[in-house]
Amino acid sequence: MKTFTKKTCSAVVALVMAVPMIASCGKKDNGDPTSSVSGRSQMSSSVSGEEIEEDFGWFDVDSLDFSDRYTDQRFTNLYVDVLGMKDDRIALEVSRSFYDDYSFQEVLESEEAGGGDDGSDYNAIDIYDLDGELIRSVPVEDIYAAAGEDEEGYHYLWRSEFDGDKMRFTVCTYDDDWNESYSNIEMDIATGNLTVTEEDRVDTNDEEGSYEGSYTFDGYTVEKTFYWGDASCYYIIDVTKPSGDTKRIDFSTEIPSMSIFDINACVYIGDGRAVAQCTPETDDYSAGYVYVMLDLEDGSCELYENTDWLAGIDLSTASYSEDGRTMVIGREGLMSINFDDGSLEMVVDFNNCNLNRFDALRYTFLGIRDGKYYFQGIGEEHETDNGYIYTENIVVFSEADSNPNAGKMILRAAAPKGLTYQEAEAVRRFNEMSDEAFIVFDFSYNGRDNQEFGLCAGFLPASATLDEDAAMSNQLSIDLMTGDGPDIIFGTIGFSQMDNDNYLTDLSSVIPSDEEYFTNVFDAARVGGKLYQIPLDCGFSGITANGEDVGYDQAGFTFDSYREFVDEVCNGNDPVGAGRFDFLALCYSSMSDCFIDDSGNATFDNDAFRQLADFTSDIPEEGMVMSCDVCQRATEGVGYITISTLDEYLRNFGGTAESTRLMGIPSVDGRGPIITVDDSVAISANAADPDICMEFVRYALSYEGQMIFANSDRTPVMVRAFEDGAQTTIDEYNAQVQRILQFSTREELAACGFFAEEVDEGVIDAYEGFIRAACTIEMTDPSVLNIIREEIGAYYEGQKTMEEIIPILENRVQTFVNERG
Amino acid sequence: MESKKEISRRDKITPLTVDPAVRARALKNKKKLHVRRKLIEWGLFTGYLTPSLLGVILFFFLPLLMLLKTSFQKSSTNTELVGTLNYERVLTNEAFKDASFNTLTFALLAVPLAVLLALLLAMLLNTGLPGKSAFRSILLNPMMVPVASVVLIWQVFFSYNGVVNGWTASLLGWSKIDWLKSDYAQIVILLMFLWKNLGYNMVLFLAALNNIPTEILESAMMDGAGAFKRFFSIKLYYLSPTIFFVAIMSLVNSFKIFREVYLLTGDYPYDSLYMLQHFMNNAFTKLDYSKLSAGAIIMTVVMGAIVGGLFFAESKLDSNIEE
Repeated sequence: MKTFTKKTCSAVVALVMAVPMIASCGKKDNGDPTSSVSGRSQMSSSVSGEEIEEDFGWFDVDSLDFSDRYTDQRFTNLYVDVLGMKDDRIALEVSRSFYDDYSFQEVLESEEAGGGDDGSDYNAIDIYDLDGELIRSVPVEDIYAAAGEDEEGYHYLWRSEFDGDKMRFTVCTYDDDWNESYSNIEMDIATGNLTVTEEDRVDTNDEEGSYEGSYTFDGYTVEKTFYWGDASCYYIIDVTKPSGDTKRIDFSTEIPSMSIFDINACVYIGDGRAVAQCTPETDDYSAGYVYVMLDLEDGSCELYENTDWLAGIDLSTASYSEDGRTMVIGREGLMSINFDDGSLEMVVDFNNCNLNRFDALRYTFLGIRDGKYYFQGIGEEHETDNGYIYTENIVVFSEADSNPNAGKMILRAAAPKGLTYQEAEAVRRFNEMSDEAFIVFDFSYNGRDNQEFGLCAGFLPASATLDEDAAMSNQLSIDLMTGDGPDIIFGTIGFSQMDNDNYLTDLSSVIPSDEEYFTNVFDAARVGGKLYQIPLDCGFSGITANGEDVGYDQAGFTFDSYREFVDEVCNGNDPVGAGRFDFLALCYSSMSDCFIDDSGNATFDNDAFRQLADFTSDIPEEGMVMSCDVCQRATEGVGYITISTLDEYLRNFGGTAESTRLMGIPSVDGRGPIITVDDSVAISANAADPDICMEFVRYALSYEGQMIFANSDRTPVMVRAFEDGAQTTIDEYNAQVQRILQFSTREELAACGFFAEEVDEGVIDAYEGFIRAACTIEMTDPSVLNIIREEIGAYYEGQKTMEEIIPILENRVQTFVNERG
Repeated sequence: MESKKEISRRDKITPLTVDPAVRARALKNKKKLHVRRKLIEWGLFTGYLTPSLLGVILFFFLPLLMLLKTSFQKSSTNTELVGTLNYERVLTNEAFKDASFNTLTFALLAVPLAVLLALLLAMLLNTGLPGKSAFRSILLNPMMVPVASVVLIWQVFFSYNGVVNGWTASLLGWSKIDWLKSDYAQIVILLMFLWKNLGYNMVLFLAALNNIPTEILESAMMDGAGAFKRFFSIKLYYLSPTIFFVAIMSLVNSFKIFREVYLLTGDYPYDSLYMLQHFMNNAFTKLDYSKLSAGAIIMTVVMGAIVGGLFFAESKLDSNIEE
């Protein structure tokens, strides 16, 4: 027995040791929402290099565009907004207006006039069927009238939505004292009759609460009112059921532990339940969304736990489909979302079609009809000779019988910092023209959207994004090394740790030789002589100044000349406005080559560092980098600014553009501005087919590819594309100036800080000069900067001299450089 | 004449029979029984040992083999063999050379001091000093202090505006020294190492001193041997296993000082504090696994040589003691 006891104890001890080892071997769930999506298509789940088969699934994408139905030339402005879709009906809100006096008079006399106090606009709700036939048009003024035309004040249509065979409108009215109130109006689509619902007017003059509108789901009406309590903020939800009964849900009693600052989305999930996506009230608003499950039948609510699978999902894109599924649009496509088992199932995979994925991220799901999926597309806007047109279209996805790209190789692309329109468009066009490959997107490196941080993304602590960036770049690096990563990587030019042969391919040979490029931009991006990440566009950061003050042939400031400039031109106000250490980082990043030479020797015992230390020691520790305080700076002509396009430059400086100089950050040799890059491309060292990937890069650098950037608020790196795009830009700018001058004089506009001056081609030369003068990309090794910041503090405090800190700096930085090899 | 009892017992062991075949069969059965017993014992032994052995194999030997494999590849996942390229990269890397020199220097300073001072302290306490147990507890306390607290204390004392500079400036009129960023940096770390580890080493020596047979010492004393003679001729031999053990533990602990150095000075400390672990830690964070693997193998070989040498020397000394 004694022996048996010993053996039993030994076995238990052994088990206790073994079980944790085995249990800890499970795969870590990184909370990536895409990992919990089922039903992905073969296009998405295939590996790089795999050939597309005919049965891989495909969607043909068509567009329903209604703008051609509104061509009344009397109106100069046109806005067409898609309100929604129900059964076979699509509702549009159409706003037409004009500011031409002649047209104004003409329309006043017309029978169709009916909008606004001065008859200068005409708004209507137009309802179409899926064949594009107009069913009914209801002037918005009639809706306002139904809400109480005799009320003085300002009205606007706050919400419009389908509810069965009716449309519901919420009209917001402001009285003379700017008190707001809401009215709910119901319209029978068949007859066009407008009636006010039982809740005639919602009194929002409650001093404690603020009514924020309503949602309508499947016969339920959910109205939300926000309250500031003593210790927290909360909502009261008033539910009107289809039976007419009402229920009230008070968050302060149902979920007292949670202070809710905002309900930014509410989606119906069936069976009388809805989920509210809420922003909790926290000190820094970085906690992410919380989700509240509303039982509309019982009038209760509870917090929805286990929300990791919802990371990256924004319920404001979600809607309840008539087939009983709740749909939401994510990065990968349209998914059905199930809150009961916490799952996402792919319905329409956007990799199964060729569209601009940046635009697709902004689609709104409308409904399913006859096997086709209808989405509200993104708005297209453009200016005409005398007006402005904005129209939204309907995008229709239809399942095709076979994949037209069969036989092509699949390549995977990732944009870890977020996909831009330009990158998405380049991929779309390449997919159209290439016979060999089809690029699909992999969003598994994209972390959580900033949408998750609700309203207050601007207050997001930097550490939150830096931590995510670090985790994402490490994962990307690991996957690139193993060959599991994407073939093409966009927008990672700031991740200097990836710039080596283990991760990326040298693209020096890819740059076409038959075109002229801003080669200084490419040179600035080289690491060890190799070009791992190619900039596809460029901008620059620098200090703006009047050419008369600084000279037209000066690229940047030396430290001494900058001091004089601040004292004499800026009256002592530093235009950069950065604190001491931030300024140190800025200056270091622009002249880092002064401190580590090509042989890899760290040298700080030189004028560059001494002057830098001396200069920054005079700067206060606290400060704030103002990227552009445009109005004030433009008036004075000076400021620290980051500019990505000529259009941005013109709008910031108007007619003074040609005389405005963009100078580099203070440096020892007065070098030019720092280059910023919005779009870059790299190819994995383990890409499935590097040659085809390089074909894509060649396309992105071709004239056609570069014109994508030129035509969409970017400065291309190809000179010809830049010049062609710049000419269009100044033509449009001059046309706009002419339009504005129809209504105001130059003096009146100048008083508002707007300089309505036309520009000529000279401004293109000036801007091109800035590009060519820029010499370094804003990339710096944080390790070296941290060492400098640690050591220079004692110098700033007067505790150490330069002779004492320089040897330490050189010693430590040299260790870093030696280690790198 | 054998008793009946003895005969019957003898029968069981070796049955009395004159038939050689039967005798042979009996012997064979006996052998089988013996083997089976051995197998059962071995099975039990292995069974209890297996979890630990499995852990050691899975988390030590296998990774070591994988590390060795990686050190000859282009990277941890790119299996293209590059021969000794990674070793050349590491051995020609200036940072690795500096780190190796610093680590070796520190070990050569710290280990002998840790052994010697601990032994002296143990001998002092063994003389029957009053308050011995209190003194022992005081010396052991630094071992229990969390690393972060140790670092904080050392920062308070040895930072540029710390206590030591304050004393030297006010009492001696010396100018301030940035201790951790000067050539004195290793001395500061050495003090920290000794402060932390002396107590534990001293306790080991105390135990070993108490195990020396007193009669040998007494007889030596009676033979006229002085204290020094008794120590070097008798005590040292009995202490030699402990000395070797303490030396090996101190050697291992001298590598672990990286923790405190890292917390004090970061990824890239002053030259003299840059250790091998800094090199490998930085290679790890930069995902340069090939360099890391080669460096680790080199370090393993060197450590193995040192420890193996120590064990060899110890075994030689042990055999002398036995003689």
